[in-house]
Amino acid sequence: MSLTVDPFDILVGLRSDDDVSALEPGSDAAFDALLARALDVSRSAGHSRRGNRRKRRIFLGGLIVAVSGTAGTLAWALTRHEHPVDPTTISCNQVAELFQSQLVVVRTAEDPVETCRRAEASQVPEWGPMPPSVACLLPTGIAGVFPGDENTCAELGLAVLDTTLSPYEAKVLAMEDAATTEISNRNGCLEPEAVADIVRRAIDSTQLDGWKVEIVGDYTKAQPCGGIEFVVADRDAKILPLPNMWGGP
Amino acid sequence: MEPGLIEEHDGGGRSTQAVSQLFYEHARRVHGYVRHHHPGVDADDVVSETFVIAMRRVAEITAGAEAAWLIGVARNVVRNTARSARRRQRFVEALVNTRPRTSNELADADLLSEHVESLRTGFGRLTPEDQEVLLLAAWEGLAGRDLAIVLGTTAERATDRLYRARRRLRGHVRTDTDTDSEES
Repeated sequence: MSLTVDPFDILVGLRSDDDVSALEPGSDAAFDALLARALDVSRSAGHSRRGNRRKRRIFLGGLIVAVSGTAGTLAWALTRHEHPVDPTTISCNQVAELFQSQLVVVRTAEDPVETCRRAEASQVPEWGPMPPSVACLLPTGIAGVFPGDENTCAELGLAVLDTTLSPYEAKVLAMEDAATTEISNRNGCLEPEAVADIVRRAIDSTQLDGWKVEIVGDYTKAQPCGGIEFVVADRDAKILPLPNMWGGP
Repeated sequence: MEPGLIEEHDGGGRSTQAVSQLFYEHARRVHGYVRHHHPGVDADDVVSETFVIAMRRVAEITAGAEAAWLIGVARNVVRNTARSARRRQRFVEALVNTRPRTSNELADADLLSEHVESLRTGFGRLTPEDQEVLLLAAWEGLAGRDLAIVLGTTAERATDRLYRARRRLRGHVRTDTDTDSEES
């Protein structure tokens, strides 16, 4: 078979023909409700930011009294250190602002700042050399690495990431690493049951309690392979349908 | 919501009015971007969060590039979730789920079925980065400065990324389908 059309043009032809024209206010209740929701969140976010500042002042005052304030302990008091909800993911940020350019990478046992340094150098070299950076905890429960120091986290309204791995986090990372390594080594399209077995073995070998493995979605000729999504907060490994990206049966 | 309710939210502040205008101008497009490029993500949540951010940063929006700026924010909102790292590969899913437009000229060119299937297979072999830039250009019509705003890079680099991705797509589809024709 000969293909004489640029495949990009075929891709253009697969574009949805949804109506994306401008709306008139009041013409679509669903979108009106979305706008109202966004405005409500903005308003309440302003209130909660003020509330947080107030709480922090109280917290700091109490600690100064309690520890008599050496420089080291005062610096600790200025920043909270917290563990992530999901220890498996890092958002590497180009600038010290939320929701700007970022590179999302998988976390290993390595320090998140170092993981970002290597990932940025190889995947987004146009960002240039990474400046001194700090790992914070994003509102979404994952690590976020930003240029700056621990004060940067506080300026963004974030806690500093506690980069020491708890025993549970270490197990989760080990489980994920074991499962994804074995799947990568197979280098082919695996049936969902086969992927589920690999994940179950990884969970058993790392002695993780309370995790479940579930096969979800419709497996069709177009999407016959199993892919994994770890939902750490739910202790859930979902096996999702994927197209055959490897070729062959 | 009745028109006019917007002004009640913050006493008619300028940013609220500006963002409301932006919303009605571009919300459908941003919503469509999330639905089509990130299946499995709650488009309502992402659009809502996008306009919350727009409220805070309305002064930064480049005149004439509002849609690209909003899509760029929506893209970052999607990526900034705990699940997104595992979903990056699912641009493939976005393509698999599509159906050609019935009114499209391609329908008259006998290009549906096996050519589309070849495209899907070749597309699936690209990196998520290549897949994303191709879909942004093909489905959102983004190029040059607008593509750069969404990707957070320079216009030159965005153009170069698109060029290289198109070339790689041609290579993969050619490998899958062509045995006897060729142009480079």
